Amino acid sequence: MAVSKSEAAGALRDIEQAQNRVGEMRSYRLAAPYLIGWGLIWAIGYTLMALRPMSDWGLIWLPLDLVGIGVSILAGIRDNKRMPASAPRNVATWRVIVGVLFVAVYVAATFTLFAPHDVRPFIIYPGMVVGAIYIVIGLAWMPRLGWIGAAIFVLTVAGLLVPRDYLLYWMAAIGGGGLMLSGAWLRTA
Amino acid sequence: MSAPDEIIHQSLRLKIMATLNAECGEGPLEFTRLRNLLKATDGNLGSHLTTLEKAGYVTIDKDFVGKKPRTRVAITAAGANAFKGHVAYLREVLNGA
Repeated sequence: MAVSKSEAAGALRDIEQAQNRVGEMRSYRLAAPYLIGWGLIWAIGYTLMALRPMSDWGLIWLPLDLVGIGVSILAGIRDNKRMPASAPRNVATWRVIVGVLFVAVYVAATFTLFAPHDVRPFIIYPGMVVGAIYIVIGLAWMPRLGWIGAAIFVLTVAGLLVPRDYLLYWMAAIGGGGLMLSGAWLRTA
Repeated sequence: MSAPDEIIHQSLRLKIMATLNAECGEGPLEFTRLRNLLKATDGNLGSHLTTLEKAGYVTIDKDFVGKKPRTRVAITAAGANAFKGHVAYLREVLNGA
């Protein structure tokens, strides 16, 4: 059997594409538990916000975020140990942590800069930022996350049309529930 | 120069071997997941897997999860070596060795 140069190039391209697809699907499966976990935190946080006065909101989110970040770090370490030695490590855990902290600072800085008088931006804006980040990740590397981000972004902005008394429940349902459903979808990859 | 592997060189079989080789650290791959990754039909994938199994390049295990049948496929050591050799051959052809 003789193989021409163009045939060999095509075959090597097919191999690379197959390997990239395996890597992409593996990334989805690894991302799934994080989405489910953060969806749960999101749902609990917004539901508690709806049930407690505004003065308690900081106290609600601080422990929830600390638990979420702590569990995410431990899960990241576990995932790195489980990954096959041949699998590429695209993103170091410390980069993810710095990224999450930067997003938190960015959201806080935006509120400081624009000092909104209405409570709705405080409720809606974090979801918009998360949706936008997923869209960027989706466009660059993981298309499914892009669709999830677009859905979160649109549904979060649609919260402006929801009566104020129900807005926090809306965010708990579409943000928390949406992330958990998205995680379940990624698990099937 | 390395020798080509006629069994592996067929387009879908090459993709099957590349996929199984990339997944080998995670244990056997379910047939349905392999089918989705390769965007192949059940019949086409099944017939090429049989060819690879006869060559000793993959193992196919069938069992039940509850009442649901499950088919899992894994690359063998011989299959991994054959794939590695074929990739080396393709690179040599490309580089004009």
